[in-house]
Amino acid sequence: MTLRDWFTVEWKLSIGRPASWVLLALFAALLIYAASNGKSRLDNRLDAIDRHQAEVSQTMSTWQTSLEQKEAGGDQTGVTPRTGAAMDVRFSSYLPQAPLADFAIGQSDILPYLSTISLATPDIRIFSRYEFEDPVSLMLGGFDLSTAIIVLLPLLLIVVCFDLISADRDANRLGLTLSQGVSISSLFWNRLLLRSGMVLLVLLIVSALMLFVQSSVHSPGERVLPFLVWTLGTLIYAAFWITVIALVAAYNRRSEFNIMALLSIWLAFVFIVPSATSAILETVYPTPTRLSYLAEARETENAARLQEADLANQFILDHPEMLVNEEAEIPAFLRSNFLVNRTIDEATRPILDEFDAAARQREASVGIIRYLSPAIIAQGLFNDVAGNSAGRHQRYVQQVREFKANYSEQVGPGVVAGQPLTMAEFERIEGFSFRDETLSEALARHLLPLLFLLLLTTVAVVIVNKRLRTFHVVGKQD
Amino acid sequence: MISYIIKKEAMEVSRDGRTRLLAIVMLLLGLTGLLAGWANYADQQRNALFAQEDDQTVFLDQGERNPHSAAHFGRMAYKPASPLASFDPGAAPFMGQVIWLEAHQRNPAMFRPAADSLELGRLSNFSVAGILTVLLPLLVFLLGYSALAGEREHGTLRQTLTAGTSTGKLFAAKYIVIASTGIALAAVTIIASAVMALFSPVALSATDTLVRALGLTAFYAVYVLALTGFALLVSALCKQSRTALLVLLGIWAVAVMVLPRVGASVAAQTFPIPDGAQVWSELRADIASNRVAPDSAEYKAAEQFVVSRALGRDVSLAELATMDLNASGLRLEVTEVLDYAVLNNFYADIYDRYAGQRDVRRWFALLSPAIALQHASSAFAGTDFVAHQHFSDVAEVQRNNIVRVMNEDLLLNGAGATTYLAGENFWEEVPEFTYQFPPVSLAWRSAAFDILLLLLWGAIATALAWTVTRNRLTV
Repeated sequence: MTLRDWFTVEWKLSIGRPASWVLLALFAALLIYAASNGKSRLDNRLDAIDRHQAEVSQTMSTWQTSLEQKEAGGDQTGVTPRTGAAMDVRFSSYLPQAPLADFAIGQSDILPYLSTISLATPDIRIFSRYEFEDPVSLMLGGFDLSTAIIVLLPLLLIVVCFDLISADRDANRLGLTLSQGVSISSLFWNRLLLRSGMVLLVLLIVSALMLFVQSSVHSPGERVLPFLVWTLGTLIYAAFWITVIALVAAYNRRSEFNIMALLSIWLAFVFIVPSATSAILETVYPTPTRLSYLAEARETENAARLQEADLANQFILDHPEMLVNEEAEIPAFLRSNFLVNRTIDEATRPILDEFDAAARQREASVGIIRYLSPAIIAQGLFNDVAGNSAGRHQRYVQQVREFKANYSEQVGPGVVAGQPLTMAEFERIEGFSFRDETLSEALARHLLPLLFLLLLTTVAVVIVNKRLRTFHVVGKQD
Repeated sequence: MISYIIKKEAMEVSRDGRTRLLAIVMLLLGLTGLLAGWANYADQQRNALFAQEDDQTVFLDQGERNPHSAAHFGRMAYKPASPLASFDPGAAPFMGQVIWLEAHQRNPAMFRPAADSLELGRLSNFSVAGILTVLLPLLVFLLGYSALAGEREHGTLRQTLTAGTSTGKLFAAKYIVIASTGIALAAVTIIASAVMALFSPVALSATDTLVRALGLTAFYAVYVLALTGFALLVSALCKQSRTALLVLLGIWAVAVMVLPRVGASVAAQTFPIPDGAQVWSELRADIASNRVAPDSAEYKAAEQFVVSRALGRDVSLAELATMDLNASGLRLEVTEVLDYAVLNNFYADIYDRYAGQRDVRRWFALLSPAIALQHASSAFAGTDFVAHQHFSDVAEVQRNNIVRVMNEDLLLNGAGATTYLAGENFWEEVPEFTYQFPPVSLAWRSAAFDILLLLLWGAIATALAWTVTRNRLTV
C-alpha cells in the first residue's frame, strides 16, 4: 500500500470522521486562544515598561533642568537645596521581553520585570510594591501555548491514537485486515504517524501562524530562530508521547486498557511528578523566609538610625579621599537616608545570598529531577526560550541590586560629603541595561534532557518493533 | 432487595484492581499533600509569630524619636496562615504575607510565597484539595463508565431486569456505591485536615473548625454526586462502555484541566488589574486631586475634627484658631484623614476587580463544577481573596490608629518645638496588632453562589442520569 492508500483508509476510518474534525478544530481554537492570551499578557507588560520609562524619564528631566539652571547661574526659580542630589537620581530598569515572550507566560506574572532604582529605596523595597495581581488568577495560571502543548497535546495524541490496533482487535477484524496483505508493522506505524501527524500539523500551522500574525516589538527574523528551537522541543516532546502510545498499543490489549494505561502515564508525568517533586524539593531545600529578611532589615534600620553619627564617621574613615563640605547645601537628612539604606542593604545582603544559594540548590536538583518527567523538560525549555523563566527574572533582580550597589559606591562619598552631582558627572553614569544570556547558552542547559527524551523515544521504537515482530493475532493463520 | 444490589455492586467495586490502585494512589498523594501542606503551614505560622515579636521589640527600642519619623518606620502586620490551609492553601501562596503599616500610604501585602517556589510547581496544584479536585472525577468516572453500558454490552442488564429488579433500585444501588466510595475518600482527608487544624498553633474555635470541615465535606460530597450523575448518564447513553469511557475522560480533561485555566485567563482579560507601577501612579494622582486648599471650609472642618478627636472634646473653629498646636502634626493628621477615603476607595476598586474576575469564572463554573468547588473550598479553608481582604482591612484600621497616635503626640506635645522628639517610653502607647480570623459566616457569604452552583450541578446531573436511565433501560 502506498502512503496515499494509507491516508485514504485512515481518512475513512478515523481522520475524516466529524468527531475527529470537531476535536481538531477545538484544539486549534484553544491554541489560538492560548497564543492570543500570551500576547495580551505580553502587551500589558510592554505597556507597563513604556509607562515606567516615561515616568522615570520625566522625573529625571526635571532633575536635570534644575541642575542645568543651577550650573548656568541666572534664573534660579527651579533650583532647590536638593538640586543635583545623587539621592534624587532615578534609574529605570526593566527586563527586556524576549522575541517569543508571547508563547509562554512562565513566571512573568509573578516575578518582577521592572523597577525604579534609587538610593532612597533600600533593596528590600525595590520590588515589594508591585503585588496587585488577582491571586486566584495567578494560582490557576495563565493559559498559553506552552500549557496547551505540555498538557493538551499528549492528551489529544492519546485520544486520537490509543486504539491503533485495539479497535480492530476489539471488533475481531484485525485478522481480516492483516489478511489483505498488509504487515502489522506497516499498519501500526502508518496509522500512528498519520493520526498523530494530523494533530502535529494543526499545532505547527497554528504556532507558525501566530508567530507571524501576532505583532511584536521584535522583527519576524528575530523570532524565527527561537521559534525553531521551540518547534524542535515541541517535536521531541510529541515524539516521546507518540512512542509511549505506540509502546502501550503494541501490547495488543483491549482499548479500555490502553486508554487507562496511557491516561495514568499522562497523569503521572504531567500532574503528579512535577507537583510532587516541587513539594518535596521545597521541603528539602527550604527558602530562607522573607519575613526574617524583613525583620533583619528593620532591626538594622533602627540600629543604623540610632548610630548614624558613628556610621558617618566610619564612612568618612573608609573614604579618606572624600572632601567633606561643611557648607554643603544638600540637606543633611539625605545623608542620613543614604547611610541608613546602605547599612540595611549591607546587613541584609547575606540573607539575599542565602536566597540565591537556596534557589541555585533547587535549580540544580531540578536539573536532575527533570529527567523524571518530559513535562518538566518541556516546561523548562519553553520558559527559557520565551525569556520568562524564574532564572532569567532572578538574574534581572540580581543585576538591579548590583547596579544599585555600584552606583552607591560611585556617588556615596559625595552624598555623605553633602556635595551635589555636576552635570558632567551625571552624564558619565551609565543607565541600567540587562545582561542577557544568548539563546545558545539557554539551549545548552536543555540539550542533554532533550537528547535523553530522544534516547527514550528510540528505545521505545526498538521495543515496539520487537513486539510487532512477535505480534500474534488470535484467529489468524500464519 | 436494594441492599443486596448495593452489596453486589460494592463487592464488584472492591474487587476491581484499577479502582483499588487509584484509591490507594489518591490516599497516598492526599497524605503526602497533607503532610507537605502542614509542614508549610507550621513553618509559615512560626515565622509569622517570630517576626511579629521581633517587630514589636524593634518598635519599642526606637529610643527618642520624632513621632512622624516613627510613623514612616511603621509597623508590620503579619498575616497568620489559616489552619485549614494545609488542606486547601487556595490562593494564599499567591498573596503577600505581611503588610507594611506606614504613614500616608496603604500598602498591599508583600512577599508572595509562590514567588520563591519552583516554576514546575505551577504545572499543577499538589494540595489535598487540588488532588481531590483532579482525581475524584477520575475515580468516579472509572467506577461508573461501565456501570450501565458494560452491563448492557455483556447482556447482564437484561438478565437483572427480567429477574424483577426495578430500574430505580438498580440505578440507586449503583449511584450509592459509586458516590459513597468517592465521598469516603474525600471525607477521610478532610477529617484528617480538620483534626490537624484543631491542634494548630493559631487555632480557630473548635466550633468554627468543625463547621468549616463539615461544609468542606458537604461540598466535596455534592461534587462527587454531580460526577456520579454524569458517569451514570454517559454510561446509560452510550451503547459501548469504551465509548462511555472516552466521553467521560474527554469531559474530565476539559472540565478539570482546561476550563479552570481558560476561565482564569478570560477573567483576567475582562477585569484587568493594573500593574503595580500604574497603580501607584494613579493613586498619587487621586490623592493629589482630592487634596483641598488649606483655607477651604472642608480643610478647616477636617482640622476641627482632628483636634476635637485628639482632645476628646468638641473644639470650635474660633477656639482652634487660638490654640497652641504643632502645625506639622496638625497638617499630617489632616492629610491622613483626607486621604483615608481615597486610599480605601482605591483598594475597594481593586477588590471589586477581583470579585469581577470571580464572577467571570463563575460563568465558566456553569460548564465545570471544579471551578465552583475551588471557590467554595478555598472560602471555607479561609484562603480565598475575601479572607485576605478581611485581613487587609483590619490592618488598615490598625495603620490609621498607629499613625493617629503618632500625629496626635506631635500635634499636642510638639507645639513650639522645631524638632520634637517623643520619649523612649512613648512607643508602648501604640496599640499592638492582633488579628482574629473572620468567622465562618464570611465564608458562607463569599461562597454562597458557588455552593448554589454545586448544588445545581449535583441535582441536574443526578436528575438527568435518572431520567435517561429510566427511559433507556428497558427489558
